[in-house]
Amino acid sequence: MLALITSNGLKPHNLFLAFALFFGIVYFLFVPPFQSPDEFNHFYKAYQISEGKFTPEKTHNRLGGKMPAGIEEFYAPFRFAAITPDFRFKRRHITETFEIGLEQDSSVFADFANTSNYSPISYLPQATLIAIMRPLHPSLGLIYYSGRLMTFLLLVFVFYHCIKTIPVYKWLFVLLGLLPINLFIANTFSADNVTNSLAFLWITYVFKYTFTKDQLTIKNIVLLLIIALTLPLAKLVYTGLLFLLFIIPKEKFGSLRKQLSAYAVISIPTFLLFWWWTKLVSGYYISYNNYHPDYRILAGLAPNSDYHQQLNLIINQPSYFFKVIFYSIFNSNQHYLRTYISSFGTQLYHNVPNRIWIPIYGVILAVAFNCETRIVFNLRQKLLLLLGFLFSLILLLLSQHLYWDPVGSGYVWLIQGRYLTPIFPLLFIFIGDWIKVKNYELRPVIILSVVILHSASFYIIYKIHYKEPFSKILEVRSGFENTDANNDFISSDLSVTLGNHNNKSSLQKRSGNYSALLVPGAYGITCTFKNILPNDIFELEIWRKGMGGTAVLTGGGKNCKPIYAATNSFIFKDKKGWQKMYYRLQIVEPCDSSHISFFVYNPNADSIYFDDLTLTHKAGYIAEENQ
Amino acid sequence: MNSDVNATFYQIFQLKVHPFFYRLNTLFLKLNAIERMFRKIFQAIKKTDNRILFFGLVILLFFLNFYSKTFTYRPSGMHQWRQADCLSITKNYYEEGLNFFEPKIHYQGVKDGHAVSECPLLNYTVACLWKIFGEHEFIYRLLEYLIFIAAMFVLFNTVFRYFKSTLLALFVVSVFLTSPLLVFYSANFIADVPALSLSIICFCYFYRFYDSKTIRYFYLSLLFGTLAILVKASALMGISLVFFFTLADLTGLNRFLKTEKLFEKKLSPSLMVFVSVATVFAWYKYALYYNNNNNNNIFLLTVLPIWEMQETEVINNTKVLFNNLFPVFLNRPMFFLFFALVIYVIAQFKMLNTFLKYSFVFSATFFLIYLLFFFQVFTVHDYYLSNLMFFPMVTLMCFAYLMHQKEFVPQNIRFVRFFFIVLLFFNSFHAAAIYRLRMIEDDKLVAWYPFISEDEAKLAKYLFWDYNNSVKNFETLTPDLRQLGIKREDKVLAVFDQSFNIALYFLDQKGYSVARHHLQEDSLVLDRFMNNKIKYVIFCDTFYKNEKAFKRHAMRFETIYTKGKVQVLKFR
Repeated sequence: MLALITSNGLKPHNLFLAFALFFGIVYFLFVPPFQSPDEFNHFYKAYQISEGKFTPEKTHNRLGGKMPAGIEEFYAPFRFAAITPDFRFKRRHITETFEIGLEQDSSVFADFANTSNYSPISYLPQATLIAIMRPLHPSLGLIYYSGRLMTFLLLVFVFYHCIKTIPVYKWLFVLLGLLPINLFIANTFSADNVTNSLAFLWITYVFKYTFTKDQLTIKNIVLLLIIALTLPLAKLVYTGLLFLLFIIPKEKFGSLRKQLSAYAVISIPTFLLFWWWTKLVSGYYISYNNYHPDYRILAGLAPNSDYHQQLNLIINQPSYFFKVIFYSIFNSNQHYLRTYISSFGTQLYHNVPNRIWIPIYGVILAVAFNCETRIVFNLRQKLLLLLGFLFSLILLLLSQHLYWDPVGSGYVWLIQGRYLTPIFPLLFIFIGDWIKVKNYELRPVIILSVVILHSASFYIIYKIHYKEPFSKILEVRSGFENTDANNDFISSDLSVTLGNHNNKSSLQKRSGNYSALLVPGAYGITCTFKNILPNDIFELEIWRKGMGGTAVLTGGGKNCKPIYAATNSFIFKDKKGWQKMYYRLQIVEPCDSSHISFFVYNPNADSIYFDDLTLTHKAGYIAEENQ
Repeated sequence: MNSDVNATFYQIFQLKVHPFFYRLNTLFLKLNAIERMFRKIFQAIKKTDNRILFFGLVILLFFLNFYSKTFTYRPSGMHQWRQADCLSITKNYYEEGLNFFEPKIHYQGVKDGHAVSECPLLNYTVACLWKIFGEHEFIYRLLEYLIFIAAMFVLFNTVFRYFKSTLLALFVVSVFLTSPLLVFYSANFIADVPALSLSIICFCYFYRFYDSKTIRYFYLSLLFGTLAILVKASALMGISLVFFFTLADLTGLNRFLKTEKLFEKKLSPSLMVFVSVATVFAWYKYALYYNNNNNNNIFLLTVLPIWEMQETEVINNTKVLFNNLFPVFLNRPMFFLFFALVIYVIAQFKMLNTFLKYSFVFSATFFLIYLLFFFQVFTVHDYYLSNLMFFPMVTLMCFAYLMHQKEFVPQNIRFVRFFFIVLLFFNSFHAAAIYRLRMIEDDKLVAWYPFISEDEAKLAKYLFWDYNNSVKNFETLTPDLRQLGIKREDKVLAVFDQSFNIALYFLDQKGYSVARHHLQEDSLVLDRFMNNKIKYVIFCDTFYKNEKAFKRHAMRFETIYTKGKVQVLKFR
């Protein structure tokens, strides 16, 4: 197998397909739902489009749309995981999603301002799949994973097709296509996938028609027109890629008239569509300060951003935006450079180490230098490549600054590398096409680089989503089924019993035959953990049926203040009315040694039932440097 | 050698035995000395007035219960809800003129705040006292406590008068003075214990009348019985006995029932009984009319019987009654002792006099019927048990009667005295500990007392913490509200408060309140209050602004006040 992969006979597109499928499936299986940037809101938007609603709903200074109630239940644990640094997934977190239905009979308004303006093109594969599946009433887990798989396979197919079709720089595209960030994003509901696919298709076909021996046919022009029409709709900022049209030599058009006609046929409808869509969605824009204050953070808006005020500032101070460009590109952290290669998490803050991602740029440039045996683009074409890159980059920075940065902030604080996926190939080709070095065998270098990169990436995923950062974990589970000689509830850990204050009841149960009943004013399910140290974590999961009902963690110890934590909120409710409560307590009190007690309490006038408790005590925090 | 053995013994003792038993051992060693001390006190008192002993006990328990501290507490602890209702009526009398027949609460209900349940005699009296002495909540507590102590004093005198034993009299009243339920609710704002107290006074006077045939005791018992049933309908046991014996005599059934002839002249007693019945009937008819007319059904003016419950609910409430409520009614050893006495009285039933026989049968029947008729409330409402204390009182009277007949006390004085001291000691500390657990944060007695479980103490600590971080924030907000220009008539919504009047009474604002779980589980809950033209929303914890129910309307409010977690929002 290794011999086959490394043999000269394996063509670039086949190598890409093999590696993309192999590594991509790993991402598909091991990246938990909604753990990529803004994926919650991308899913909302895809669902909205699947219902035939192409424009956002605007109501009470909120932007988004009505979603089936089940989606909230589906989201809840993953949203919590996304904002909880030490949260680690277990198998059941994923498998439980396959038990949650859409519940289309009731709906809630969801805010997704940052994705609401995206066009339907960006979500075509995901939305189409949801629309097909919805009448079959599948679980949300099935819809989500099917959508993810569909997007991934589509992207791999498009990239495969591009690499197979593109006449030059195939190996460069193999390497860029196999970057972990692309395969990671491909396994999400992100709109980037369609954008990247369209950008690669555009570059591929422009290059193909540039180097074809034949003249362009009407069919070719129509194909370019279709891609040109959809690319700005997918993301306006990549309009700069349309400059590439000019690298196609004039002789390929047949005559100047035909050339100008082709330019007009492609650019005028594209511009009109671009203008119409911009006009349409700009009517829905709500600035951060005008957005409903309680929803603007969840909606994905950046604090103090205001498109109109920022635009006024840029127009009135012409030098301001040049400074913004400079400070944004030449800032000290180069977040966009590291996140272009391999980064994970909802904020892309989890990256492979510097010693891995920095050399990869060397490999990319080496491939770019070594990809072709001769210089393939003339000076005019190279400058057009650069122009396309720079124009798109400036539009990208402008767009980010207008929509997402506080007014007058002076730099673009959020440029993630994934935004550069459609345009960085142009820069690498521009650089690589000046000098040609001796033609070395690229496969081993590419394969080695890709394997190292993905190995490091998988470890990051394992570390942030699965590897417990604690050396000791005590998990206590009880469904309140059995009691011991003292009439206390037996738990999964024989050393821990849970106080049964006449709580055992067969009147209601979520699982098994019993639950814990709390009559008004009663408490129960008591237990105490001893020898608790700072940084220890307590996680509690319990199901509740009935109004109110509080889960309490209290404690204290020597030389420190008492610890109190309680929750009566639930993260979602199932069809039978059982509400899942989750709470996480990190011990910050600097106690020498303390205890933590757990109990549930019913402060209300009606009886409440509790079932399926999981209490987890995590101790021995392993501090690990995280880049 | 001896000291070494002792040292080893104590080491083993301390290591292997729970510290409580060590303390108990020490206690027993000292009991002899205590018993000798008490003997001297009893001998000294014999020479003086035994009432000093009664008041001495009351004063000791007053300080043991830490009433000296808690008398000035605002409504708090168990059933703060009902306490606030009573205070709300009082406050509205005080603020809006003393129109007795127009009681109001802060919660505006469907129509407005006109609402009433029992006859607001106490509320009205306290409002009048506030007019004289200024608005002090402790006056309310003091009034209820004085009524209770007066009843205990009458009971003490009655037992002593008829059974000639200071020890028996002290034993009978000590059961009441050390009932955890009565310790909590006797110095409180809820009307149940005053009603019971009036009922006990009624019983004692009627017993005296039955014995002496002095008519003024009849009228006194009728007066107190009527007041009792007016103050709380469930305190009907005293007046029922009065009616029973009176009607038996007036109708000539006394020969058949073997009760004594009570009245020489029948017109006047008949008339007074009629007045009493008419007064009670008129009040409750008026209360029903008043609440219906004002669309206000906040207060219970009916029964909640067991037969309207589902089987599961009956099981639940039975569990609560036996595991949570009866141990507060009387502590577990006392509860067993009480039942032992009931069995003993039944066994010796023939030896009782006619009055006590009927009283015992009636009160036992009432005890059972009351439980069945109000079974639905026994989820958490422990104060509903207060009036059931009538049955233990009658049982104790019967027991005292039997002891007197058998001359048991004089013959076994050393044992009785020892038993009484141990019981009193335990009951007093137990009741005080439970009271202080509910009322006082981080109390030393609670920390020391061995019969409060760690779990109970943890729950109590948590409840204090929870309260201090939520509803307590309302307690001192009123001056700031007035400074903001918010009048007490401006309708507000208090978030959160699961009761009708706790937050609104503390804030002294007319309006509405919404419970934490309603806010969390019903996203439309705010709409209903907005339709009732609220002007302000007052959060005790801004955390609850994140609930969907509020978020839906957040843009319609502007924040006009923030202090810590408290926030006042004005409706635009």
